[in-house]
Amino acid sequence: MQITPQNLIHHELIGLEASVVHSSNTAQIGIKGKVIDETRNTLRIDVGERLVKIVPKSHTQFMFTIPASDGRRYLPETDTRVQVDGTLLLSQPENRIQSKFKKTIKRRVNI
Amino acid sequence: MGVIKQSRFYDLNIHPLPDCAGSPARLVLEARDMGYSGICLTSFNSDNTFFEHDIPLPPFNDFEIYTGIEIQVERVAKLTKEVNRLRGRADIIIIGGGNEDINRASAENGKVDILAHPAAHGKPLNHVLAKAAADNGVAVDFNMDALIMQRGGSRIKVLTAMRQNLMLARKYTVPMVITSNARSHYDLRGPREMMALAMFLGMTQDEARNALSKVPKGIIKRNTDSNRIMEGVEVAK
Repeated sequence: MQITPQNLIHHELIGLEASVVHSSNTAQIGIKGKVIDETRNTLRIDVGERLVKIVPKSHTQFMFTIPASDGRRYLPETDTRVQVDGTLLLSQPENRIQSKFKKTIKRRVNI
Repeated sequence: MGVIKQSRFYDLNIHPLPDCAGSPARLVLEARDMGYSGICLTSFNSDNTFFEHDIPLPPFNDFEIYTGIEIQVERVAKLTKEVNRLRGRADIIIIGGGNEDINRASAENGKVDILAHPAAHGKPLNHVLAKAAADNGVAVDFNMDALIMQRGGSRIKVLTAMRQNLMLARKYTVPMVITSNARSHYDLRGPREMMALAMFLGMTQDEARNALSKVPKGIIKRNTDSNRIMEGVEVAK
């Protein structure tokens, strides 16, 4: 199934470009690379130079880049970037796929 | 006072024509004169709202007009159903509270934006409701029409309940909004008059200003931002 901003939080994340835009651990802000593995609580991000960072999902805001394609080839100029609260991803990847997603953030933001 | 002049004020619960007497255009003109930056015109009857008829509104570039529905139901099951049905149709979903069951159901429903006149029957919220409202981001409304329109014992009851609500809202950091709940343009009050009334309730000036500007702005942004997919997921520009 095509990955869209709407189904991103149910979708397989391995292979997507991700970066940490906000975290309670300030040392992790700015980590950027390809997601190579996922556990219930963490994402493993390959940052290049043979270095892999393990980032906890909770208390972290991720920016995922969804590659755009017109069906045949990728259009790298028109990527959509989606900012996701890591709390929404807190679950085993195989369980996240469930169609009805009930998990909500404890506190709504922007007020 | 410079801060107040810079603030953009919003009144999120004003009832226009099909249900009440004021025409939308008149309410918009009047609210703009009073110094509001935007209003939300709220209908009671979801099948006969002003925005489904082609009522012309004065075209102002600097004035924002939002549509809302105030759901007034007796039973909790119906409330959930109505909220799910109407969420996509109006910008802002308001629940007419007062009844304890309805107050609780709306405080626990994350799709609700504002719980309007929760102290209508003179019964305040409690700590459970306040906590739930804070967690779900449901704003608690302090409707100034109750203080203006009512007299005698009933006004005292509402005032006491509102003070209690204010105390709870402070303790659990529940978002507060001040609305006029106006049914005609004669019921509208200017932002600073509303702030003065709210300060009479016991709010500080900053709390009153935020309840008229910052919190309504947050509610509007949450509901009208097209880049927002769901809570916590946002498309970046």
